[in-house]
Order: sequence, then C-alpha cells, then structure tokens
Amino acid sequence: MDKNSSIYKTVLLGVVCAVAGVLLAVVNSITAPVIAENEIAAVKQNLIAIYPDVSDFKDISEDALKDEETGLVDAVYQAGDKGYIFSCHNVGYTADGFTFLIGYNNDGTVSGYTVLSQKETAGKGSLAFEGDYVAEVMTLTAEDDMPLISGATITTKAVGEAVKAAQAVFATLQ
Amino acid sequence: MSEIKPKKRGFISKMITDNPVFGLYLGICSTLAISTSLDNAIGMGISVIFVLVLSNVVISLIAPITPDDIHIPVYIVVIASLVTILEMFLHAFTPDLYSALGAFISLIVVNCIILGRAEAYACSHNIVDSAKDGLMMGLSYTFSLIAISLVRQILGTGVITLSNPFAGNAVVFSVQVLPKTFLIPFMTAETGSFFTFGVLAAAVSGYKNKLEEEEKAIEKAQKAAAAKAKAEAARKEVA
Amino acid sequence: MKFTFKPSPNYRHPQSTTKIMGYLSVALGAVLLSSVIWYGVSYGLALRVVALTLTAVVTALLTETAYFAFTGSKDIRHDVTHSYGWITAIILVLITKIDVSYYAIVIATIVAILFGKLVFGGFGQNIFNPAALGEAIIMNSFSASGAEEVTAQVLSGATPMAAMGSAGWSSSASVLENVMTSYGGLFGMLMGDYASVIGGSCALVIIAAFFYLVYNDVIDWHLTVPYVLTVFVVSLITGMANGSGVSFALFNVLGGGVLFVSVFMLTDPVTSPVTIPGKYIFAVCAAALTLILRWKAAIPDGALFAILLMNMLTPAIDQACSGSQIKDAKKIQTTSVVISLVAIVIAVAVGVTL
Repeated sequence: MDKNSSIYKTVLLGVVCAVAGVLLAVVNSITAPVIAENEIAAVKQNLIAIYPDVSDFKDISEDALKDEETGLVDAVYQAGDKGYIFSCHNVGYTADGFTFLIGYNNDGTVSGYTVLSQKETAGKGSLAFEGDYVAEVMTLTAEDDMPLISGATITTKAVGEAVKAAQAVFATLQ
Repeated sequence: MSEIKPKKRGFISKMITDNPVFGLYLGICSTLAISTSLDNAIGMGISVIFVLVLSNVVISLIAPITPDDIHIPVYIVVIASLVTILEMFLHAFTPDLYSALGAFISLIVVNCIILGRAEAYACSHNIVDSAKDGLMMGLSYTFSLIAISLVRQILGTGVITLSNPFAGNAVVFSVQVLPKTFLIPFMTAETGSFFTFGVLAAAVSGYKNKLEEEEKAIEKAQKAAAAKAKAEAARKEVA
Repeated sequence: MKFTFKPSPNYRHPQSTTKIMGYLSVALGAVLLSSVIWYGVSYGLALRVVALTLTAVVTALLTETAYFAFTGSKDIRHDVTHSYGWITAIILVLITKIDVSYYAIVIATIVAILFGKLVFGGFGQNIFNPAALGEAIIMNSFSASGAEEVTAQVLSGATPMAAMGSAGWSSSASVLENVMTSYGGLFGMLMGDYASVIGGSCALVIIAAFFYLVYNDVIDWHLTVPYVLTVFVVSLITGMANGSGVSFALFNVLGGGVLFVSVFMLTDPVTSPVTIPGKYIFAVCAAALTLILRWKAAIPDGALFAILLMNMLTPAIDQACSGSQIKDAKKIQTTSVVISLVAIVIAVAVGVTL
C-alpha cells in the first residue's frame, strides 16, 4: 500500500489513537479506584484530627453549599452529631493561596483550626497558621471575627473572609 | 614511537558534556521548577527516563511505517499517552510525589528532550540503539536535576533527605549538612533556581572548553608527529 | 558580555574614574557618618552600623579578590582597586535596615558583587545596580531573620512607609496626620529623627551630598531632579484629590529612601542611559514605578525595584534615543516627552484611585 495515500494515513492515525485509547482505559481502570481511596483517606485523616471520637463523617457539601455565593468554602463535613467541619480556601499574600479546615461544634464554639496548605511569607503571613494564632482561634465562636496580626494583615484578612463565609454556612445548618 | 591517542572519555565526563540540560539547554522549564529537593529530582528523573526510553522504542518501531507529513501528530499521541499512563500510576501509587511534581508531570509531554530525541535519533535508528539513547539522555537529565537540587536543598534548607514515595514519604535518611543559622532561603525559591542553573551551566561550559583545548592540543601534536614521520621516511628513502 | 557596542559611559567622562569614585566615597562617608551619629545617640547602636559596614566592605573585597584569582587575572591588586567594590558595599549597608543579621549582609554582598557586577564583566559592564540587587536579596530572604533584640529595640514601630502601608495609603488628611505625628511631623522627617533604613533618614545630609556631587561634576542632576520632581508632582495631585495636598507630596519625597536613591543609585552612569532625553525617560518612569509599587504593591521600598526594572530597560532607552544629535533631535525629544507623560498619567491614575 502506498505510504503517502490518504487512506493509509487515516488508517495509521486511527490505529495509533485506538491503541493509545485502549491502553489508557486499561491503566485508568487499574488506578482510578486507588486514587479515589487515597483522596478519601487524606481528608479523613484531617477530619479525625479535629474530632477523634467520631467515626462517621458525612460529606454534605452539595446541600450545604447550594446557596453559598462567595465560593470560598470548598466542602462541608458533618461530624456525627458533634458539629461541622468546613474546608475553605482564599488568596492571601502569595498568589497560590491557602486552604484550611475550621470546625464548629453544635454550640458554636471552635472545635478545630488546621491548615492544609499555605505558601505565605515565612515568619509573617505564615503566622496566621501557627501556634499562638491557632490557640487564639480555638477560644472563639461562630459569631466572632478572626483576629488580625499586624505585619500579616493581608493574610489574616483573607483568612477572616473565608471564615466568615464558613460561619454563614454554619448558621444555615443550625 | 607510539601514536598519540585522544584520551578516552569516561562515563561521567560524557554525562556532563552530552547533557540535554546544560549542553543543549533543553527541558529547562521543568528543571528550574522541580529541582528543590532530592526526592523531586529523582522522582522527575525516573519519570522522564521511563517516558524517554519507551517513547524512543515505540517511535523507532513505527517511524519506518509513518509517512512524513503526519509523523508529528503520531509521535505526540505516543508521547502524550505514555505521559498520561505515567501520571495515572504516579497519582495512584505515589501520591506525595504526584502532588510535589504537580503540573510538571503533564508538561513532560512538551519537554523538548522527548520530542527532540524522537526526531533526531529514534526515528532513524533501531530499537536497541534508540532505547540506549533514551536511557543515556534520561540519565544525564536526572544527573543534572540531582546536581541542581543538591545545591538548592543544601543551601536553602540545610538538610539532605531521601524519602520513599511508595511508602507515604517515609524518610529513608536525613542529614543536616548546614546549621540552621547559615541557611540562604532564596535558594529554594525561583531566584535560587536561576542562580544555580547559571553557575552550573557556566561550569559545564568551562569544562567543555577545557576538553576542546585539550583535543586541539592533541590534534596539533598528532599532526606534528605525522609530519615528523613523513620527513623521516623521506630521509630514509634518499639515504 | 556587552550589550551595547559603545564604550562604557563612564570612560567617556572627562573626569578620571578614580577621582569620581573619590568624591562619591566622601559623600557616602558623610551620609554614613550622620547615620552612625544618629544611631549612636538614639539607641547606642553606633558600633553596629560601623560593624555592618566593615563586614560588607571586607566581604566585597574578598569576593573580588577570589574572583580575580580564580579567573587568572595577572594583577589582582590592580583589578580589585579598579573594581570599586567597596562603594557597592557601603551603598548596600546604607539601604538596609539596622536589624539585618551579619550573615545576611555577607550573603547579599557576595551575590551583589558576584552576580550583580563580576559575571557581567566587572566594573562598568553591569546592567543592574549591584547594591539594589543585594538589598532585593535581603528583602526577599532575610527580612524575617533579623537580629531580634535590635528589631525589638529600634523597629518596634514600623517605618513610615510600612505604617502608611497598613493604613492603606489613603491620602486623606487625617490619616496622614496620624502617621506623621509618630515620626515628628514633616520637620522630623526632614531631620531624619526616625529609624528606617540605615542611610535613609537624614534628608538634609543627602541634599547636601547632592549639591556637593553636582558641583564636582560627579553625578548628573538630569537624573535626580526629574525623579524627585515627578514623585513630588504625582503625590501632589493625588494628595489634592483627597485633601492633604502638599504634605502628602512631601511625605512621599522625604520617606522611603527616595532622596538617597535619587542621588546615589539612580545616577550610576553605568546603569542609566547616556543621552539626556534618555535620562529624562529613565528618571520619570522610575519615579512613576516607585509610586505605583509603593502604593499598590505591598513593598514599602518601591524605589529599589523601580530602579532594577528601569536598569533592565536602559539599553532599550539608549537605542530609542540614539541617532544623530542634530537630525533626529526632534524625534528623540518627542519620544522622551511622550513616554514621560504616559508614565506620569498612569501614576496619577493609580494614585487617584487609591
């Protein structure tokens, strides 16, 4: 068959793509379940850190975030009958932004505040996710604003914004 | 009188000069972004070796039957599928490495080294040679990644760590080389990557110049020896 | 590698390079001395200023010696003395804060000398102002690791620029008043009775240095004056839009190292354009950038990065303004006026929307 005829080219391209497609489908069927499991495990670890005694966490994001307009709250988990955990993100000083979890007990007190990922300036914006600030946040409630750190105002303002959005969702769940 | 032969270049020397990153300046984008730690460097390097060897082999197989005007789409399909398969495996079995390398795994598709070697070598050589070429190029790419990462990691964080990505990043060993007060933080950021790359590229360039000069000197000596031999032979004839 | 095919600008100057550097050293010495005295009297830190300066100068000289030895120079002593590394070192110390750690100064000096000057070909061939590069490194990496006791003692209040920054750079009169009273009002800022960067405080000394250097034909006022004037005018317009007028303008001129930068760093003949229209473009655009960076980006030292950015554009400006001085004069003038006006308009637009 003449290599330069259009039929040959079409057939060759088709065969190559078909083989590639089959291979990809096979690999996907092997790896997709493993990936899904990993993701659940990673999130679960963080949730358990906040509520160690709870064994049934439910992902209620779809219903809870129906009317959420700011887009800063990514997921809502119901921790048994104890409270709720909100996964939020925002952009602070660095363009990459940060994500964190904030949990509220049913009575409105803060049950946990953990950072999932952040790339703020070390020693300045990163203080919004470390020791002293975390301890301070743990004493607050779902009605309070997040405190500001002078020298890290941009980061803490952004955290405050995201927390406010979470608090709004929390209010609708009560 | 013995012939003056040029020095046989060792493996390491070849890896330094025939280096796609420092010699041909290919694949720099991912090099600069990834090389922040030894784990990332080794992970990325092995990924690239995997894709490079397999793509070279496959392309050397189908090149003879591929007409010229569709060879680029065909090669790209091959390379892209290989990278996607790699990405799926990494995501499933080494999730920490996957999130550390991030978008740069997908960018291996457009890493100039892969398509460059495919076009320059694999399409015109047999399987074994292509595979060997892929392996060599991949190894020297990994080698340069490790070189940059070591500098950046030591100067920027002071520790050399190696973790096992298959076991949830369990640390295999961790050595504190530089005390905490002597860290240079910008080395782990993009600034450091450009500085390190520049210095290492200059060093490689200097090394290559030195080799060239040595070769030239040997050539001159060889020519002189040959001329001398000719003169001797001519004298012998006359005598 | 040279980027222009003309000889380096300072080789064309009628004055010998050595003499120029001599006058420059005197002026820098005066600023350094005033700073030593002030830090000594106010905080007892005179020794620290001197120690930092010595560290930087020694590091600079060692780096250059090592470099010249490594690259096989034939007369190291001659090369090092004609490389004037200590000028870069002193300027670097003068634009850093007092709480910088010694290690940070060492690293920044090495980077500034090696990557800011030597790899480009040494004195007269560098593209970027080496001291600005060194300070950028410090700001980027070492700002959080200063000597803590010194920070607590001296800089527990922020510098004027940072204070304005947290107040959101609103040019309303009341906010400005609040910020300025903690620095002794305008007179206090003129006399430099506050702590910011080591060399930045005392405006009077810098202005005196300016006249001294212009009189001795060391720096070109075509760079300094348009820069300061543009900063003043743009802040004036911005201030008038929000009620604080002249005081806002003076605040912007006296603070943030504008004066020091305009006299000692903008005027470096190696990194600034050669032709006079080019210098106007350079100065005006640098001023506009300084203000935009200062007001909109969270960088109190906008002047530094403005200079580095304009250094990058110097070869382009030189090319745009090159040509026969008589035939193309009209075209070159129009170019420089247009670009300057555009820069000013943008800066004013940014300022008014603060």
